[in-house]
Amino acid sequence: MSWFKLIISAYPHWVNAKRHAKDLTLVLDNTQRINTNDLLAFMVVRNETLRLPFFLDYYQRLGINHFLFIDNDSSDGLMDLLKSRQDCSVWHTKASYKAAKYGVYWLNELLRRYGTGHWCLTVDADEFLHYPYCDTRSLRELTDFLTQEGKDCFFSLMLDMYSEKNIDTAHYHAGQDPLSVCAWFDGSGYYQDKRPTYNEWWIRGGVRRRVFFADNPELAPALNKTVLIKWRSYYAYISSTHIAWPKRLNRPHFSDTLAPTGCLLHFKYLSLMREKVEEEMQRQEHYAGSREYQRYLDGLNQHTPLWCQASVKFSNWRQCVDLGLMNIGRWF
Amino acid sequence: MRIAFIVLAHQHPDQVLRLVRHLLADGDEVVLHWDKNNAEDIRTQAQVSLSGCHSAKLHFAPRYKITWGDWSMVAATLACLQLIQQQKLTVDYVVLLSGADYLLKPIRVLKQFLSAQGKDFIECVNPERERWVVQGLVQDRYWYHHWFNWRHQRGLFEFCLAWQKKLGLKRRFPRELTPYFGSQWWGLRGSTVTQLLVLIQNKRLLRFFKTTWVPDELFFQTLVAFCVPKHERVNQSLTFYQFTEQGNALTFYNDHLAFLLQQEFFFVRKLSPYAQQLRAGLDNHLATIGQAYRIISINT
Repeated sequence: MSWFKLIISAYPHWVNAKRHAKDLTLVLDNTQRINTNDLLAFMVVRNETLRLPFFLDYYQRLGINHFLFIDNDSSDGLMDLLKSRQDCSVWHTKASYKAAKYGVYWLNELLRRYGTGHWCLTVDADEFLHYPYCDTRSLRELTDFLTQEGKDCFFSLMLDMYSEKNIDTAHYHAGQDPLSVCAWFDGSGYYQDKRPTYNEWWIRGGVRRRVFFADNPELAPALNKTVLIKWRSYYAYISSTHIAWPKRLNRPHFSDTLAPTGCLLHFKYLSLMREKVEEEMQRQEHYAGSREYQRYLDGLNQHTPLWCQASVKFSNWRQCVDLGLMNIGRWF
Repeated sequence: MRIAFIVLAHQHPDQVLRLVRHLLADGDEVVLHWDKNNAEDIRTQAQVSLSGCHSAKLHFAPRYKITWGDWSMVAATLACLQLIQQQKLTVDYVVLLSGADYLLKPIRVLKQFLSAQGKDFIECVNPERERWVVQGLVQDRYWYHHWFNWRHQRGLFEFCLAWQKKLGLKRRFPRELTPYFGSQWWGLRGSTVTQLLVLIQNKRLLRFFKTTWVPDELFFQTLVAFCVPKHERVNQSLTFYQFTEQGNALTFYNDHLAFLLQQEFFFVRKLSPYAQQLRAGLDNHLATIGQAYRIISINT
């Protein structure tokens, strides 16, 4: 790509990010503590404080050095939890999540400003990254390996986790490992299409498609996520972390060989969901007129069971490799 | 038997000093080259963490800024060898290690092995007969001048090489010498090192190698093959290493302990700087072997 073309195509992302970043106010500033080479995590949260104690522990143990939160007007004491922490910075906003393209513009600006030159993890508070050897090797060892291999992005497949019981009875307490509540996932039933515009591997399936979009699988949400990127100033996320730009970032593998990939364990189907879904139906702040949430609400009201004969109980990353959902690549 | 270990290190001082502590344990000399690109002060850290009885045997070599692939790597190694000579350290062997290496066997076992063998341990492969380089330039490494670094200045590197080829500026390898490639990491007898230090008085020889590409895999190998007869050298390194297809050394992590314990080498290159459990596991193994060894030597 020529420089001219690069600038022309990067410009809209840059403008949008700049414009929407005006809505963000820095309320907890520890950014001067970020060192060169630190691993950073970026996320947008709204009333997810209950999940954060375990979340912060989990990613700190993997090797994240600093967390950058965009707080979309939480009212559940987020600041009480974070204000004494020196490894967190928080931006507050009351602005519309939807207008900021579901948070992407906010993230892009922070990623450009603080993430440039760093390996950056962009996840939600209910997403937990598992990668090859994650029980014995740190995230830093993974990023060092990727850098050595000449890759600056890391692909992951989102696995929706659920309990064998009803969603309403899957209670979660602060600090608890969500795997102890939702240990099951669909071991098969993922299919992929390649889409031309951004070259991403569009993967759908899992429990979402099986239960909530059984009547119209074409509408099932995407499960492909490029959550870990060594950021450069002109990079951008286009649609959540499903699609990144430039489009080579969406390529999971090399042209001639496999790269390591991960699984992103996603804990949405907890009893917390009802409250969230009802609120989101009111706000209408989600993708495609929140149709996903309408289906969840229907499912909740009909007490649709998520567990089925084909469900698999999660044990560790090796199981994901055996099921073909994760790749080791050339990592020895 | 006395050994001098040369350690070339460029980052993670605490891991380097952990290795150095093991190397000093049996009363041997350690010459540490700390890359000038790293501003951290390893001297003070060493004083604090090695305040044991052997810290007087740790020497600091004059510092060079090392860039992978060019002469600076050899220059730093030569500086260490010259330091050994200047300090008049009489040693039977000199072993070259990297700061990311670790021990697989105790030093006492290494010494017993070396005194039984009495040979130089250095990989020497003639590129005209055998394949050693996995990917990339082979003879072009020394046939042409290389003033730029392939990793950081790829365009210039390839431009210069292409024009030298076009103009037919192929160089002749120094007379009497046959080119040999091999792993950078070796263990040489004190007498061989003395011969090397005489050879490098020859300024023309140095000038030739200064513009070769990756001289650390060519310079010592070629000179040792020249001055040591074949039956006095073993074509192998004392260090276990493996290269990836891209030419990077394989890194070992916490889950590799069992794998590494199977290797019949004395050192391993290279451990991940974050693999503390692996280091602890190896420490444990070294202590166990050391104990067994002590019992055997008392009984005999």
